[in-house]
Amino acid sequence: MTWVAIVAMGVAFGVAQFLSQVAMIELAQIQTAIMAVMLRATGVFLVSAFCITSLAREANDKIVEFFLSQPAARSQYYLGKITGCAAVALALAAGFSVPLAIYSPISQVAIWGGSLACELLIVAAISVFCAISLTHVIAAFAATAGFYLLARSISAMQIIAATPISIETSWTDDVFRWIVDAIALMMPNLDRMTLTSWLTDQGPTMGEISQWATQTVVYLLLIGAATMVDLYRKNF
Amino acid sequence: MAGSLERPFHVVPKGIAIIFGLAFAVQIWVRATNPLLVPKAVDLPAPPGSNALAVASFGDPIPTAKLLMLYLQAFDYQSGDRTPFQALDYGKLQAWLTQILRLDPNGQYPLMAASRLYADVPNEAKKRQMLEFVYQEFFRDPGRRWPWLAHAAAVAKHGLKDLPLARKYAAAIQQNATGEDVPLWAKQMEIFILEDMNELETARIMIGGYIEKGLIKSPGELRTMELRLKEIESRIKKGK
Repeated sequence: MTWVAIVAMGVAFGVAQFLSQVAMIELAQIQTAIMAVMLRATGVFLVSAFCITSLAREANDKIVEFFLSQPAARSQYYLGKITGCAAVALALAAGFSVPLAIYSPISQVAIWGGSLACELLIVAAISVFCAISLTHVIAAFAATAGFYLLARSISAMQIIAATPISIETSWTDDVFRWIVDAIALMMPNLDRMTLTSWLTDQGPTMGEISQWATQTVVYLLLIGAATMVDLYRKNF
Repeated sequence: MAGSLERPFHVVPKGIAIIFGLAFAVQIWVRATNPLLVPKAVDLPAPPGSNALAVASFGDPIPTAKLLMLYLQAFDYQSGDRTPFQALDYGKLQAWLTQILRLDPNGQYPLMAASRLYADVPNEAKKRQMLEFVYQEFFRDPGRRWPWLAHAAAVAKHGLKDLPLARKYAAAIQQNATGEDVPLWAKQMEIFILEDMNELETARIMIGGYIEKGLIKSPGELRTMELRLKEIESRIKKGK
């Protein structure tokens, strides 16, 4: 996976350099924006792929059953797994932030990297949850991808649901809006995390930073507890 | 329960259940207290270029057009209150609508929005700009786009009180929307506007021409038009 991450950084750097040759103005902003979006997407993919495949391999090799037959609580198994996945997420976030420092001020890159770390931690927790609950690689990967895309687009869906085209809204419009709002309550605020504008324009305010930091802690606890509930109820 | 896939809930340690409940409640609170950032009219940027949209569509422009229309609609729209639309930059708005129509020429949404939403603002210049946009775009596909020009004619007549403009739109429908599925009322809008303009002689000639050429197929519609013709002729006589 290290090699994939290095190649991804190289490709992102190369694409950013190539496209900046075409641009006439805002070269640094273009390079930063392209690299940032490519590295963020790669980070999400690598973390989820790592978490899901490693857990699936352990399940297939009966390592989970072996571990649980030892005098150790299931919560310890989960904490071990999530700690490993979190370490990978943090390492990737740190590694992917470094090349961006070429184009943007270090303080802004550090905040962006911190936000990417939080985003990848949430992705790691969701991936572990899906891998333990669904046990199959494709199902877990599809569920994680679906969750990530939904979390990133739920605010846009809320706006669309709240703006029906007809003046007279019917009860179905209200029901649809309530459903979308209810789903939004369960989702993390990923659309306000790791924004490229923090690198190209101004960084987030302290209020925004505390918002996504709180969101990360709360969501890690929520998904962690949900995973452990599922793990304790599983009959191996 | 041997063989069951799941064990009962009471095997879950209480601490974990409590953390789950608390985290769930805090998550709801965090999201509920985080206001949704609705884009304001002044934030509407210029639309991407045709090439950029073509690349972003990955060879399938219809979904992109549909999503862009929903994105555009979300700008400064408040349900039941259309006044905020007038804060939009109508130059940029028209550019967006044009790009969306180029992506999905068969889509009706952009022209519906132009004639019914964006032309429904208390700003005459902006209203006229949207009506003119609908008029220009109508000629690209009259058979499909006539309903929006018909609405534009109604807005010109009742909203702007500009009967010559309404007649121009109605005449465009009458001359270009010649399909079988275009209803008679739409084709004959011009006659009614001419009556309102007191140009009774022209209206009389038009109705007479319709009847003479056998363009009116339905007996009921024919009877209605004959009555209308008689009424106009009697008004002309009274006028003389």
